[in-house]
Amino acid sequence: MAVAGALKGEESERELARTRAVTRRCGAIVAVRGVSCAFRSGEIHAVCGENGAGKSTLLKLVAGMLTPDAGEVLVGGRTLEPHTPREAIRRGVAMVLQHFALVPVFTALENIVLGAEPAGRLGVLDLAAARARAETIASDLGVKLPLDARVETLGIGDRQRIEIARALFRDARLVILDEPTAVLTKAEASALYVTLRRLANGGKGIVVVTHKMDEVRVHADVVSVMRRGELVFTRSLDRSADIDAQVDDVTAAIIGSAARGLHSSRPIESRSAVGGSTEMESSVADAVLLMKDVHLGRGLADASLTVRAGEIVGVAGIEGNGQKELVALLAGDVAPSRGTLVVGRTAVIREDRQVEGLVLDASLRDNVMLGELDRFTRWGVLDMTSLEREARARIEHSGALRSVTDEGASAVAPDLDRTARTLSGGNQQKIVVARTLARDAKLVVAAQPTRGVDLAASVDIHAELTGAARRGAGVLVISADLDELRKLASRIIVLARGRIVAELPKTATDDELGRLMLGLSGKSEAETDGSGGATQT
Amino acid sequence: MSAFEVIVSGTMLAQTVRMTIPYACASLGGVVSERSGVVNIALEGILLSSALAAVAVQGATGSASAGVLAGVGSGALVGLVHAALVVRGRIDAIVSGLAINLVAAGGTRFALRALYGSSSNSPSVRGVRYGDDWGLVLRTLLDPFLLLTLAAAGLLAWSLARTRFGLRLRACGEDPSAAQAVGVDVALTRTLAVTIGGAICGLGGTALAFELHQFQAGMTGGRGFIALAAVIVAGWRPWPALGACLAFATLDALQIVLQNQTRVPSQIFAVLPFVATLVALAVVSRRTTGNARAPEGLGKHPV
Repeated sequence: MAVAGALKGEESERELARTRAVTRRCGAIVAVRGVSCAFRSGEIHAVCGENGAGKSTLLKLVAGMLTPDAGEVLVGGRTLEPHTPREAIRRGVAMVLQHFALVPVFTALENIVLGAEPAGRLGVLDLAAARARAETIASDLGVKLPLDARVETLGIGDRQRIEIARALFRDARLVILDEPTAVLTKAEASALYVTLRRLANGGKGIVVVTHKMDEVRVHADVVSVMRRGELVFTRSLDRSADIDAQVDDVTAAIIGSAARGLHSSRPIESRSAVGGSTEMESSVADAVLLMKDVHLGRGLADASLTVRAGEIVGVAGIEGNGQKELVALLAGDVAPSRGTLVVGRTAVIREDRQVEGLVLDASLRDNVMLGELDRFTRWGVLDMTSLEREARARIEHSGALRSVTDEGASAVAPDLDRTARTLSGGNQQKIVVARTLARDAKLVVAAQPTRGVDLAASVDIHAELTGAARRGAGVLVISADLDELRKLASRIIVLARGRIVAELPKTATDDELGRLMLGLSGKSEAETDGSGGATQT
Repeated sequence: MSAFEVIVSGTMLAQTVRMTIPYACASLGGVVSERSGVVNIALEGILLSSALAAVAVQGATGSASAGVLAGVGSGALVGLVHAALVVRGRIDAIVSGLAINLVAAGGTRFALRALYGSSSNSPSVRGVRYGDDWGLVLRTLLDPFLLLTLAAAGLLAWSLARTRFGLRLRACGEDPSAAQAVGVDVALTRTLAVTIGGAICGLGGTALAFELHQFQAGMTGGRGFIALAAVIVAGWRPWPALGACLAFATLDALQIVLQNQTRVPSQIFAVLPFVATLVALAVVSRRTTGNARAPEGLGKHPV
């Protein structure tokens, strides 16, 4: 008993913050439902889940940025009251947002002190004291901070370090980071985790929201998984045991039911095998895209490519090697400067859905019907009834609202008036895909269709693209994700320095593709320059 | 006296300086308000209502200081109303500003009739008179309104750059969401900024009324808007705003002289300051870099 009591005492001493059955709605959706979760000092706590699972909302509740509708948030053993960031910070909880909360025209030092400024009489800033303190923090973190540089001139890595320094400047004991590595390079990400580990060892509590399982595997001490607003899983990771099995459990928890599971690659592949290869070969007759020696400024040279109805062709390549030009060309944004381009009716899924794909503040109905109002217009008047019917059908089919509505929501009519902004990235992309594919185009161009999209949504989007091919469209998928290309495409072309340097079957290995992407020869001495359009099937 | 002699005379200098003050105060008020992120087109209405308040209180109490306090206080009050509507009520700042200007225009006329039974002007008040025998220039340079205006500009520039309040105020103006995320009370900071701005602007209204020793309906004649233009020309910085107002007042004083001294139709000179404002705005609106730019978060609410 005594031992248990002592343990319990120690536990609660280590506990920095806890939620007790918190619920928070965002509009009609319950973003967080009855979640109880504790965050302790000395550990890195990873919070995982799909897009829109409620991770960010939960942590914003802890950081006082959102107020719970029910339940309570305890920080330092007491209810957080008033529920403001200021109070949370005062009690030692600071959150580094995904989109940094730094004032661009302020210097790093000004940003670090903002809101917790050391000041003398009359509120005169004591920047010397602030600087000394910031330098101590930087050396504790083991980093260099460009204190006098304006933040707008700094890179992402520096900005993130400034955010962390800012949290420590106000003596945060629990530092929450929302997808900190989403915007970092691999090297920067490892450096970040070195820093975070240092902080955890120094007694701070660290919470990291992440999608990336390899980060969880290597760095996390504790993992919590959110799904559809609920906390479905929390456990400590034990690296002395089989870590892979533990991470698999985490992945399973993230995805939920096995039906939509991790093993998704199988159903899709089999589908493309059935609907694909055999039938495809026979329906090869008509090409939907014919490019012959096409040039576009400096971006694309000697590009020759044929896409036939019913097939999916993958485009691999390191970003900036002509993909953007290829998309612009096929979308009709620009005309080729030289060469022949014959293309059927084309629909394009653009790379940046928030800028080029959606009107974020318009309703889902408007977004999913964007650009097609002519079809629903009679004598200049919109036929709202059929428009509504079509929009509803598309959205229901897209499944964009499936993962966010309550259980058994299929009975409930989807809320078409929600703005696109309120959807998670994956669901926004589903809307874009639904709209694009609804056009029955001969050629579908999909640029990075699942970038920043969670696993389940990727599965849905892949199924849609495969379905479009089965219905007879030619599909060109441009992606940085080689697994995605292999999963979808029957053949893969490689772009390097604006040239199509190779065409490979879907069985191509990472190594083969990688070498070609880097402009090295795939095998022995296939020329990279001068032999564009050469194929080596 | 030739036009040239008039222009370089001490009278002209004194005139120009005195004409600068209402513009300068309104424009400093605009700087504080807008640097905190709140668009303020209510400057015109604040000038007008504080002019009336100053005159009414001095007329009633006989005390010039009480008049000044009333002018400054009423300016602060109208500023507070603007802040409450925009910051707390989230009403569009242009709508709120326009409403305040309309209410001030109508309200002062109504008050004029109610208090003095006149539709055009108040009875005359003494204003601030002192040191009549000091000589014109010295008297102008030691004018309490001028000194107060300079003090306001200096204090404002200094506190924006050097104090905790200034840093937070600028943060609210540049990126209200970021400021809020680090625990700055954006609503409070902006409310204070707009109220302080209203007070400084109220000083300008008081100076305007005391200069003419009475309140006249519509006496501000668009000064609040010119002051706002000065804020933009000056890149939202206090001292340059003062400079822009001085330049404008110089043209204004000049056009009065030129109207009297030449045969050219007076309307041509009368539009001079406005044309200059237009040209200056057109020039600076092309400016996108450097320190002299609009606060990024101007008109934005924190999310």
